[in-house]
Amino acid sequence: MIEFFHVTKIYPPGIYALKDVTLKIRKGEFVYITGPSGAGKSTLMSLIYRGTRPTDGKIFVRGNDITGIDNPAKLRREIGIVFQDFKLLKHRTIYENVAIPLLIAGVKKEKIESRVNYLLNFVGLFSKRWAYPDELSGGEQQRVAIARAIANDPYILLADEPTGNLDEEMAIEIIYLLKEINLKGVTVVLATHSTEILSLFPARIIKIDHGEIVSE
Amino acid sequence: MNKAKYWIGTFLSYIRKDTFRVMITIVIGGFSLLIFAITFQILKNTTHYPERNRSYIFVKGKISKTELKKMTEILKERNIKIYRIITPEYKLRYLYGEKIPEELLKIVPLTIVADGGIGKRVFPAELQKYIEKISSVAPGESKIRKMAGMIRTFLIIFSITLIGGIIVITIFTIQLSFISHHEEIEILKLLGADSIFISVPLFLEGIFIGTGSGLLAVVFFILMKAAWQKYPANLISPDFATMGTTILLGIATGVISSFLSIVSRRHDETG
Ligand SMILES: Nc1ncnc2c1ncn2[C@@H]1O[C@H](COP(=O)(O)OP(=O)(O)O)[C@@H](O)[C@H]1O
Ligand SMILES: [Mg+2]
Repeated sequence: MIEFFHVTKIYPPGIYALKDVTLKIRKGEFVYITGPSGAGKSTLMSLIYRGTRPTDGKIFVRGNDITGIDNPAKLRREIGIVFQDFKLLKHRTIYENVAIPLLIAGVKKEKIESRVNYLLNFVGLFSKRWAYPDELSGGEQQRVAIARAIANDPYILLADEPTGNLDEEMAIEIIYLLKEINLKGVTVVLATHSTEILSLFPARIIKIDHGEIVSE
Repeated sequence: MNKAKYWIGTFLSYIRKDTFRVMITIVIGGFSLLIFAITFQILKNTTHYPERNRSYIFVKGKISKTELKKMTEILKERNIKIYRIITPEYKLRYLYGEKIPEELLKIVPLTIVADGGIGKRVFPAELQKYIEKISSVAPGESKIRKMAGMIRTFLIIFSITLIGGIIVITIFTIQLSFISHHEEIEILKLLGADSIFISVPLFLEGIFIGTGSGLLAVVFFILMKAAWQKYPANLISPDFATMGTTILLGIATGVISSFLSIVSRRHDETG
């Protein structure tokens, strides 16, 4: 599903964010990317959705070489992304926030409504569909972000420190949700520096430090 | 929700957020287009009329209503319109941008300005056959043409520069809009939105600014004309063609500006 071959990422003026990383994540896997702050976790995630280009090496997503693509729009429609800071559209309702990826993908009006309602029920926020992000708690906002990320039935769900801004109880809820999504067959890659989560929900762990894989 | 609804909603929220910037652009655009409109009107008048077959029909003494009516009919049969009847009381010095010969105003109690269209003439002999009171018929001035030619060239260059200026300002304001909504646009990109999806609201903003500028210019023009009512300013009296052209030009500058700013944006997409 995701393959890195000797991937190096250097940010100007010469910071090695990733050094010769080779890894393979299979279809339907649940994988943790872990390591201390500044280890290169976000960079690794960003390379998957082409938020940044590798300095060296090759990256394949679903068998396609994405290293050289110019327009990442199509790739991103097949990947769901969840961030620490939720990245919701502030001036849009919860309903609209979840509907927007469907609009982008060109889904028909009638289908959008039933799909959004289904997704909001799935994350338990149907009753808050006309609220704005600011009116929701952090955990609720992250659930909206997850509903949005899976709106188009992505093959891959990337979550970069999704629980970073949440208290423990909410964090557990979010990981549960991600596990549930994984059980539906979605490949989930979760970057976190929290060791508690790793022990609560065991799964494959890729540990990186200073841009290098230190253990698998 | 569908795409159109989303785009319009986003466009409205964008201009609501940046009302001041949008309004300033419309006002600047409005003033520029007003200058364009005045220029256009002058150009139009000086182009149109001197090249037409303007004739002055000099009438001796007073003319009765029936005689005038008869004359109008005769002219009409020949597809010649009466543009204006000048009496000494009118004291009109300019007519459709043409200077009326001084001597004509002095001697003749009544002058009829007839417009024969292109390639037609009002023949004195023919008219005199029907109406005794007509003393002579003279063609319109040709000197004006040369002067108008020079002014025209200047005005054309000036207008083009002005339109270029409006486009630059509108591009600038749309670029500011991109920056102002950067955060939102970045999120949309992460959701896989292509540049068309992202750009439509900004495109609408450009059209809104352009249309707003065009309408504002027309309103200014009408107000200006109203304020200068007394002045024999036929030269700068806005007609429908000028108003329509100004609005269309406003829309066109909006479309061109949006298009150019969106195209230039595509190149510096993050990689
Ligand atoms: N856009 C950037 N420009 C320059 N340096 C960056 C950029 N993003 C990340 N870095 C650097 O790359 C390294 C890895 O960062 P990051 O991938 O964000 O790590 P993590 O997510 O594990 O905390 C850090 O040293 C960070 O300072
Ligand atoms: Mg990070």
